[in-house]
This record gives sequence, structure tokens and C-alpha cells, in this order.
Amino acid sequence: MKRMFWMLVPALLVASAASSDPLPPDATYRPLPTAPLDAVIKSDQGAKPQVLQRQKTLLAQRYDLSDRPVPGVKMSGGRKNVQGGVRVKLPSGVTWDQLADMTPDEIKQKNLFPAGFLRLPHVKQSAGGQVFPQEEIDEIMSTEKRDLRRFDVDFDLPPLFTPEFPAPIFLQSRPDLGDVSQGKLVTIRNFYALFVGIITPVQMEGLRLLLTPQPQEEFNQTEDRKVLEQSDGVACLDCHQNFHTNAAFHLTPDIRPQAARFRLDSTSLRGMFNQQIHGSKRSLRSIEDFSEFEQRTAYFNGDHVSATRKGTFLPDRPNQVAMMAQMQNMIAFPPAPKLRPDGTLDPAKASPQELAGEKVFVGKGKCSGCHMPQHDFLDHQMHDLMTERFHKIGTVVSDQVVLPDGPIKTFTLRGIKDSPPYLHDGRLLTLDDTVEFFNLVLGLKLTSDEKQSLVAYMLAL
Amino acid sequence: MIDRNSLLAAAICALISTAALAANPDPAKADGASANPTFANPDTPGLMEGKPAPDVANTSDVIFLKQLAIGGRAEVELGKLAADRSQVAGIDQFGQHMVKDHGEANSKLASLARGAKVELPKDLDAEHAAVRQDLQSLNGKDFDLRYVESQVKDHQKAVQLLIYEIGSGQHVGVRQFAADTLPKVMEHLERAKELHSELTGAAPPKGPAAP
Repeated sequence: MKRMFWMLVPALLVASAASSDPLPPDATYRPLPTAPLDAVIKSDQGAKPQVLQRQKTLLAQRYDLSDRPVPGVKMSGGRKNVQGGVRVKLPSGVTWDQLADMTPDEIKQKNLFPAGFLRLPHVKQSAGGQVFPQEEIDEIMSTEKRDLRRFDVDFDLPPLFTPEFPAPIFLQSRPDLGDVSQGKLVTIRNFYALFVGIITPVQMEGLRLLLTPQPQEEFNQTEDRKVLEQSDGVACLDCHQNFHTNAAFHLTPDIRPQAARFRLDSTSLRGMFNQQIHGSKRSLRSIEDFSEFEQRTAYFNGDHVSATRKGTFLPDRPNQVAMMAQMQNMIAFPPAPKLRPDGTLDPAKASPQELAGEKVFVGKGKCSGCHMPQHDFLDHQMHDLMTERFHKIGTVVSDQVVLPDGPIKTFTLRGIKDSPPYLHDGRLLTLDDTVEFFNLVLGLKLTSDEKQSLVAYMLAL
Repeated sequence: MIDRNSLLAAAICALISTAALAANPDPAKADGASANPTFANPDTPGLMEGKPAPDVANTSDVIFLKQLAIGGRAEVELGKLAADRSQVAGIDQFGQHMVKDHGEANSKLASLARGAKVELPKDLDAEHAAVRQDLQSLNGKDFDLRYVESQVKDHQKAVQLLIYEIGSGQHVGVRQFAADTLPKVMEHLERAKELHSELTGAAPPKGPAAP
């Protein structure tokens, strides 16, 4: 007996050595709350002014937030100005041209990568979750009496840099009609009257599902929520307002731990019929896959365990998923009267500056390598811009760690003036910012004229 | 008996100091307001006054302190071995860096743990003791490879632990320590990965860059 015990000892030691210090489970899974909801509310509300002020300070450090619209240009509904000019602030003592002449390594060593080109943190990274702009909150409250306000954070970007609200809706099935939104936000209360006679029964049911609130991580009926009263949840089109976007943001569901997750700006659903990959890291191959599984990812941070506890909606694949997908595939880009069927500018309609911009776009600017004009400016690929060549990694800003983002999918540029802020996390506020960003990151060395012509070209898309 | 006026004055002082704090929170610094109290214990001091007291450790802080201490201690011990035994300049140097950087970090960690009343483990854990035993029996390239492999793994874990603490911790000093330490540990990880691919030949050979 004694001998057997001693024979077992080495085996026990080996077994314990293999897993002596794994990471704690809440590095991957959402833990159950330990504090009662009233204590959390009191604490979160008490901390809120400081949390909001910190984000305000960060935005003011990084960007020029003044109202400087592009003269004579409106978003596609004709109601909102398009903001212009480079808004990312330069580090002191350098110009954009001087930066463009430096090697990535030099910029990294001298710590000169503009802070506005880095990841944009969530207002409260430690809590994360979906945050809606005020106009969406107000409209949903007045039409549905549903509360999208969080008690711990508010939306951060000034309304100057968000899309037109409500956004116009164009149907690829009825291009003759133009904007069918009647200037309204489509909700579960008005969708039928707006769309009967225009879409099919299957599409109508898809639309109803896309507008039906479902429990979500911060908006649900359990004590683990960030809304004061028990909530019915959120609907797909609460973020993708009128099948476009209202710049509502959350954290990517696809990364752990919490401080490593990057912010996600809601994408537009326009032109869905031609988008082949979906999700920030998952590269899902169809909008059907995305519509089905988003109930456990965008809604619950990729945590199916939490989703099950709070009540997840699992649409059935042959019916509900197909209908939701079909409705999304009906949404067209806004009209671009200067573009020809092959995606090139019509020289009879475009200005010399726009035509010059197109030349840069397909040539020196290397833009068309990914944004292929003949394919609605998409290539259905994810690309890694490797911005970490320009900056140190591992620094912490507002509780978010500056890490390499890895590959991100190409976004379309059709109707791009309607979609600020730009990049997957919304770190760039204007199209001029995107030009400076890619000029540096791709080492393009564009002249000032070339940069301006590129912006003029993108405004015409 | 405390008079009403002094209570009022104290309340005003408290308000002013909160307002002064709120006026300029620095995005580069950890602060108690930005921690997530949902997962804090209900008896966390200060929780009901708006935010957790800054010097209270939650469960994540405790796990972090203990686990990082285990790794930190191992880095120093294994680093000494590498500095003694390796014939490869890069690895010898890396070992010396580990002894220095982690030695410094370990003393900071120890003082933070004392302040937060967390008892740190005193000995090497079984996993690292096994690595040390392995290394003591190896020489030359076998030693180098085993050491560098352990360093890649340990630094991956350290990076994850630090990021975990930044997102889930509550103790302001501990979170700030994690934020201050992370860039250095990421450099170590980067270097360990480089050494690994140099040793194994997985990296493309180094040639002159084009002019």
C-alpha cells in the first residue's frame, strides 16, 4: 500500500505541473455580477462624470472638433453637412510632409505617430458594450417608449461627425423610387405602413425581425445590465438605423481579455447584396451566417453562456434568417450620378479635380488595390495595415491597450461621405483624415493637390 | 457633538476635491472611476459613494498579483541560469535583462501586494520548478532552445495577465503598475520570439536591406 502511494507521487506532480497557473476564467467568460444592481447603479452614476470627462479630454487631445463643413456638399438625404479638413492633430514640431518622409521605424523611435491614428478607446473600456447616440435614444424613447440610455456612459463623438439621422433608404429592388424613408426613423411602430406595397411578404417579415428588440448584454431583464429599468433589449436597426448607421459603437466580440478589445463603429448595411464577408474578425461568409449568429456575438460579446442566461433569440435558419438576410440584401447605395456602370467617373459630369482624384485612386494612391471601383469598391478580403510599424505596443490609453489590430475587412467607399467616422473603430473623423492616414501608412508621399483631389473624388462616390 | 457648520464645510471640501478630480482625468492614468463595479463585491469600501476606494483590491487584483509574482520570480531564477550557461550572446544578454527588469518589477509588486494585504507565493510553482530542473540538465543548443521556449510561453502569459488586470482590476496602484509594466513585457515577448526563430532557423536569414 505504502509502495503504491510513492509510485503515484511522480504522476501527481507531473499532472499538477501541466496546469499550475492558468489564466482566470473571467479573462474569457463574463463573470456573474457580485454586487447588487442598486449598488452598481449608484457607483456607476457617481463615476460617470469623471468617465465622460476623461473621454472628452482624450478627444480634445487627439482631434480638432470644430464645425468646418465642406462647402456645397451634403449627405445623401440633403440634410446634414459633411465635415472637412484634417482633424487629427499632429505631434508638436512636425508637419504631415515631414512625417511622410520618415521611415516607420524613425516615427516609432521618436514617438511621432499621431495619437488620432491609434485605436480609439471605448468611453468605458472596462465595461464596454453598446452605446447609442442621443438622437437614436430620443427617437426610440418617443416612438417605442424603450430606453436606450445607459446609466454608466454616454455617447462620445460630437453629432457633427456622425451620419445623417434618420438616414435615407434606397432599395435596389426599386431604384425608381429614391429615398423611401419619408424622413422617418423606421421602427417596429411604423415599418408596415412605410413598406406595404413596396416590399414582398418575406421581406416584410425580415424587416419586422430586424426591428424587434431582443435581450442584449447591457439591455436586458437581469441584474447584469446598464439600463435603469428591465429592458426588452435592442433591435438590429437600433445601431444600423434605417439600414445605414448612427455611429453607435461597441467592443469587438472576437477578442479577449477586455482591455485588448478594440472599439467597433457600426457599419452601414447599404450594398449588402455585394458584401461577401462579415464581422470584425470572423470573416463570416454570408449575411445569413451573420444575421443568425450576431445574437450571440454583437448582442453578447461572443459569450454564448451569458446569452443563454439573459435570453437569446435564435432565429431559425430556413425561415427567419433567410428573411432577415433577404431584406438586408434589398438595400442599395445612395445614387452617385457621376459614376458609370463600371465604377469609373463620367468625364462629361465629373470635375477636373474629381477626375484627377480618380487617377490618384487607381495609381499612386494604391487605393484601388483593395477598393476595386468595378466591384463597388470592395475586394472581399481582410488586410493587415500593420500600423504597429509606426508605434510602440503595450501602452495603455483610457484602460485600452494599444495592440496591433491585425487584418480588418475592406469597407466599401460607395456613399462614403454619409458614413463618418471612418475606419473600423471610427478613429478618423473626416475623409481628409483617411487620406493622411493612408498616405503615411502605405508610404505614398502624395502632394497636397493629390490629397485634395482624392477627397473630392471620394465625395463623388 | 459635531457642529453642522463643520460637517457642511467637510461636505463642500469633499465636493470640491471630487470636482477637481473630475475636471482633468488623464487618459494615460488608471483611475478608480473607470473600473467596472458590476463584478465587485457588495461590501467593497467606497462603492456606494460613487466609486470603489482606490486602494481596495478585488478578486482580479489578487489573482493577478499572485500569478504575476510566480512568473516574475521564475524569470529571475531562469534568467540567472541563462546568463550563466548560454554561449549565445543574445540569450545570455536576454537572461541578464530578465534578472534586472523582473527583479525591479518584483520588488514593486511585493510592495503593492503588502499595501493591498495580499500574500504572495514564496516558492517557485511546480511548472517552473520542472522547467528549472530540465534546464539544469541541459547544455548548448538544447539548453538555449528550452530556455527560449519557456520565455516565449511565460511572456505570453505575463502579457495576458497584465492586460487582464488593466481591464478587470480595481486597485488603482495595481492597475497603474500593470499599465506601466506592459510595454516592457511586450518588448521581452517580441525579443523572445525573435530569439526562438533565430535559434530554430524559422526566421528568414538576415541580409542587407535594399538602399
